[in-house]
Amino acid sequence: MIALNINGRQQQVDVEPDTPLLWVLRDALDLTGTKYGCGIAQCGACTVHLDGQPVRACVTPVTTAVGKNVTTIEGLDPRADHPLQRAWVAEQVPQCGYCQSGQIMSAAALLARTPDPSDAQIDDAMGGNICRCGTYQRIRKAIHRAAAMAKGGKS
Amino acid sequence: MWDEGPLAALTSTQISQEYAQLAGQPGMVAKKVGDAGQALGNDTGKSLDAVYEVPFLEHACMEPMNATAQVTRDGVTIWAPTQNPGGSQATAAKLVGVPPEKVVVNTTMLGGGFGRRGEVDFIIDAVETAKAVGGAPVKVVWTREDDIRHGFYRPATYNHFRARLDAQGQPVAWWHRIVGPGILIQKGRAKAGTIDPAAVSGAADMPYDVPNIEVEWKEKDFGVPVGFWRSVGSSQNAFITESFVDELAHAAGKDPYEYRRALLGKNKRHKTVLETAAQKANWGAPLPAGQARGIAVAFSYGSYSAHVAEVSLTPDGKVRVHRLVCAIDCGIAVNPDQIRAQMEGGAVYALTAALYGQITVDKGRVVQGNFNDYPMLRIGEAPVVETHIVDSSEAPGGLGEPGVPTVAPAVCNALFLLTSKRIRSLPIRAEDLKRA
Repeated sequence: MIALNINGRQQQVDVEPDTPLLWVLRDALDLTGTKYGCGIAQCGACTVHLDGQPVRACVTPVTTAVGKNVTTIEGLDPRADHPLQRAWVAEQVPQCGYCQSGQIMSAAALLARTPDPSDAQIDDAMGGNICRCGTYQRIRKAIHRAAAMAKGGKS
Repeated sequence: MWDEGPLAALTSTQISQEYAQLAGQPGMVAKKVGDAGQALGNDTGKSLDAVYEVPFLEHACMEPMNATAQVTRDGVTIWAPTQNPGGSQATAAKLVGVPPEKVVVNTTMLGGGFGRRGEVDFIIDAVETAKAVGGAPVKVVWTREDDIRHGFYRPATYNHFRARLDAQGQPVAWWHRIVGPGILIQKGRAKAGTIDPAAVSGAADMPYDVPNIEVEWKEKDFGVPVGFWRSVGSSQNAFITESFVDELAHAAGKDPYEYRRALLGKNKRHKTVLETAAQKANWGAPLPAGQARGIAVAFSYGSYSAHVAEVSLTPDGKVRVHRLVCAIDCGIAVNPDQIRAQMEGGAVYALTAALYGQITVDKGRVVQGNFNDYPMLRIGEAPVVETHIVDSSEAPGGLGEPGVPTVAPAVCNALFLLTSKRIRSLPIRAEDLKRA
């Protein structure tokens, strides 16, 4: 058994030690908000946080997560009310939605270290997340909106 | 024994070469006005002759193909992200040998469709497997490599154009021969030996007033599976047609916007979106040094769209699209924000294809397999898309497709102004912009 801390809860999982964290989350723990897109860290659909750092769960062996705090889209905010989630709704960002939990997790890690990012900082932090529906323009707006909300501006 | 089949030796080079040879033979006539053959022989003004090629493209939905199925004595239950629940039901009924009413299809959220999820191949995978295991539900999830290498590709085509201008630069003859496969024919939904509507849409209905027009289609299907890719025939025929009319404008020494406008006399809705895009983009006003504008207009899926692209090249020769100004007439605008969202998304989908999209075949196999060798546009490369919705009380038209066709030609037409190089083959290659 492997012990993990997922979204603030201790979990035991019975998986091979080289299992990618993505499949542990999805298949063993039923946390299906984290998505499979490529399996080779090219698309960002599987982005989660390890101790606040964004990682691609598809290439992260489960043992890498031992002793660290794993945060998935389900654990980003207990009421799904993170400023980014509100901003995503306000800007009507998602189309198919498949990449969006990864997008939000990358954006959340960005805002945690850079509360008011420039466009260039957004491009840099979000460059690993592909959106095939092409919602990039709204993702950019929503990140700026969430940054403004967090500062106490518009909501 | 593993049989590699009749396509085991097929390569993209062979496809391209055979297309070129076949372009020397007559095709079926999809549109004929006047006598283009005779008018091409006029000796009044300039003549133009050009070849355009487009590659196979894969849909690359973010969610790879997948389906879940359960086969019991009572029937079949399917859970699948599908654009074709009816086809999925009929397919499963046939595979299992039950009447369709014994098949329940639960359509889940789709992680992108773009035409790919109208196919039922991934449904077959799940149903056959579920049938074999008997009783238990089976979930089949393709890898990204399965997904890209086993697509139903936007057809690769070869296009020969000839045109003749009069002494004033007005076109008197427009001749276009398309060589490629027919999607509907391959799927058995159109008769072999007839013109496949999907192959000529956006070409046979090109909107310009030319007294002599001939558009031909020469069918050639190598057996590479083809399918409906966001905007289908228009995804390539608008690029080809709107690039070639731009060539005519430059050969005539006319402004490409005004040249089009003058040739759209009877097509008011084309003209309105063209004018709207040009006005909103300040067509003709100075741009920062190193930037140029290109324009294109098309009809597809019941709607009219035009784009103006503002383009530059980075110091290392990469194409940078700064802004796309889009005008769309989709009839009555039911949900304006959804219209804008579809134009934004269509632009990124189209630009991805123009800059990167290419599926090649070697030894009968698709070469590309994942986003490392079949790249997608990323946020830092995405242009600002500005959408202008034309007021209209016409019947509602489509929106998923019409944001796509005019992006590549608008970008390539801007690149011609920047580099004097005419892009006649997609994707846009740095060497094609440099070649002397």
